[in-house]
Amino acid sequence: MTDQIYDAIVVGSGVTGGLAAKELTERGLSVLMIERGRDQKHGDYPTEHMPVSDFKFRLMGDRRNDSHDQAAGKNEGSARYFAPRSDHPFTVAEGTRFSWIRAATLGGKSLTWGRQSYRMAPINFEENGADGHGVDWPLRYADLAPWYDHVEQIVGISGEAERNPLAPDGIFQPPMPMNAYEREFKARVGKAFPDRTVSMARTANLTRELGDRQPCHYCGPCERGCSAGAYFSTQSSTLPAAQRTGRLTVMTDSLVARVLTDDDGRRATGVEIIDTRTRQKKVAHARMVFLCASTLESVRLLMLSRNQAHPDGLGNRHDVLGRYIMDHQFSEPVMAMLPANGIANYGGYRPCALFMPRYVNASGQKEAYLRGFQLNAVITPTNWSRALVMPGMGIGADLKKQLKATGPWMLLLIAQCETLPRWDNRVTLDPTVKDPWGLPVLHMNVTWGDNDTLMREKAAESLADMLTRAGYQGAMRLPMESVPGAVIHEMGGAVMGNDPKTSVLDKHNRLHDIPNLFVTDGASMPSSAHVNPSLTFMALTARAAAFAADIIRGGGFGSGPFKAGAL
Amino acid sequence: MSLVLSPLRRREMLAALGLLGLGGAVGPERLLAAARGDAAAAADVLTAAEQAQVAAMAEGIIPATDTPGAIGAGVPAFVAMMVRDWLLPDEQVAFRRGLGEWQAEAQARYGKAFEDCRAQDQFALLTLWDKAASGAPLGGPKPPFAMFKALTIIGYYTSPTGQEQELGATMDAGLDDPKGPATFINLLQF
Repeated sequence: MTDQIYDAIVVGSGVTGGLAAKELTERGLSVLMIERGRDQKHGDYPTEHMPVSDFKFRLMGDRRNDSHDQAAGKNEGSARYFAPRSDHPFTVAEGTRFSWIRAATLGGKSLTWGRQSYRMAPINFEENGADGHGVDWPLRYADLAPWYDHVEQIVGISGEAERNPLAPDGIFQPPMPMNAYEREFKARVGKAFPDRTVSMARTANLTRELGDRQPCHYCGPCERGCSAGAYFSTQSSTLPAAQRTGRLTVMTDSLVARVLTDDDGRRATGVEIIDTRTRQKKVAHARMVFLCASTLESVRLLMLSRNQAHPDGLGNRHDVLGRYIMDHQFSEPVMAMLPANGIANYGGYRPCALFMPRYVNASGQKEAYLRGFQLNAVITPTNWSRALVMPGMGIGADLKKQLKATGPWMLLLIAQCETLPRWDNRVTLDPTVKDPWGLPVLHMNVTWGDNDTLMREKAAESLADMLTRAGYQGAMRLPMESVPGAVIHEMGGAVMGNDPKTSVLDKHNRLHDIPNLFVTDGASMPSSAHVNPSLTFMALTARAAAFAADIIRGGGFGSGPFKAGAL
Repeated sequence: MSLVLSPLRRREMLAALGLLGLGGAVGPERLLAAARGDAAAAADVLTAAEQAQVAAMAEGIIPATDTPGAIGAGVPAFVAMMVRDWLLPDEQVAFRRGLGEWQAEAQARYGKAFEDCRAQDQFALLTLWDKAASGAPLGGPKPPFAMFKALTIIGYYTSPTGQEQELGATMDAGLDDPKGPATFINLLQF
């Protein structure tokens, strides 16, 4: 294999790696996709429709022998898709905390992601430049809009068009239906707040067939895998597409230890790989390299690839690599209980909640904090497990009767808050601690800034106020801490920008210093925006892949000495 | 002991967050296949006498009606397994201390082991303990009975009997197909 020169190496196989492989192979390029985790076949999801009674701990997990960190989507039915914490050690600066969640298999986190898919709004591309925080985006909404169009048709997103400038519409399949209490919530909020939109979440779950993928059958636990392909994952979508071209090579159980460059450090030539089963090292060569290894791993890889020409890491001549690390923050949830009276039960388990586009600082700066949040609303009946939390239900036949009857419903709001890009929020290589393969681990020094903390507090206040003014009684705030990384929307570290002195990547997601080395995952994001970010990662990936494929097809990135003129 | 009700409360909330496709950290968990059959080997933590007491108490909390009760649903073996494999060592100690105290109270009041008491006496004892446990201050340590009741309820409603016979739950329910509260089961990821 060391003899072959691929057109491209793609490191990682999650939402961006899988898409890069698809886009590049469909444009005629040969691609080697390298995945650190083990192989995972589509349809081989042994817990997929397992009833709760088949799980030893009834989905409460093996709390005495757990080898994972807590994570969204991780439970007794899906833990197999998450990497045990011993696989990816890291250190944190004193007095700080960080949660780093990584995947264990081919497909990466695309198997277990939350699936909500929103376009960033035009304002999200402009606020860095306008308020001076972080690096100005080298793109505007209009630059990315056609790539959102492109990606949405691949992913398959159900949702509702709303003509809201802070939640640009996309190409949607029909939205999933609302239940009775959700329709009432929409009506009440619409009356009390004419400027606030309640809409069905835009989610990468199908309501119509898409190719050989089936519409959602509402079974519930998406994170265990879906053999019907009803939600977007690498396995359901991009991997089979790339494989159909006959130009994709997939290598699993293979950890990329560094990106190799030519002697003067101006061109990537390939990667060094460690076979995680045999610990043997090997090398693969390509005309270009796409890092889609997940935000922090891509950043780490650039750092681990330091060489004589780039002593501080690739793309780090100006000390920008590893900076501007962001995640989203969830506000504290606000909850109200609703009586069961008169509301019909329903069957099935819809894989998404409601969402409300950002409504703060929507037309000019009005709040005490910069930027904003969007929110989700869950309105759902309680089940028998309410007996564990509601006092006074007693015991015996009467308890059994109560639990068989329809219980009260729960209305829960939670805001997803943008966090500002901050120079001091950074990751570096730990000088002493190594991972199981002998590579330096990341040292996280990430905290919430004043604006982040203020917005999170004000968001919860706003949600409680909204419930009250919409006529819901007894709104309660539920205490919840907020640890960086825990939302698993980590972004930044190799940010895009126009100025090579203040950014790592150019507007095509490639290193200013090394034009055939691309980073198209969350590491490239100059700001976090208020929306779930995966769709934007994918739009950036598709855009960069098309740009890169044109260069390769035009004869650029050749194996000889790099010629700037070829670009 | 405080571990039981507070994580469960948290789980209910966070499982709802899981619906959002965002939060959902539920607690330390790891997949173990081949779950069935393990409970039979659980006798190494609880003695035979303790298991008889557990069975009688669990049946008192969830009795047989027109559907099977806790014993018919296999709850005693589930509780024994959870005591062995899920409770932390200090929780195991507290759980067994609780069993001993309840047994002593049954002896003191009725001169018999709990499992030998008349049904109405068992009901009176369980009601007494349930009220005491649910009256415990929020946020403080939970009495062992709260854990016992929680394990019983979880064991029952997540068992094949509880899911299929009592609740009629299915994994393939479709939207807008009213089937009663049974189909809520998956909503909270149980």
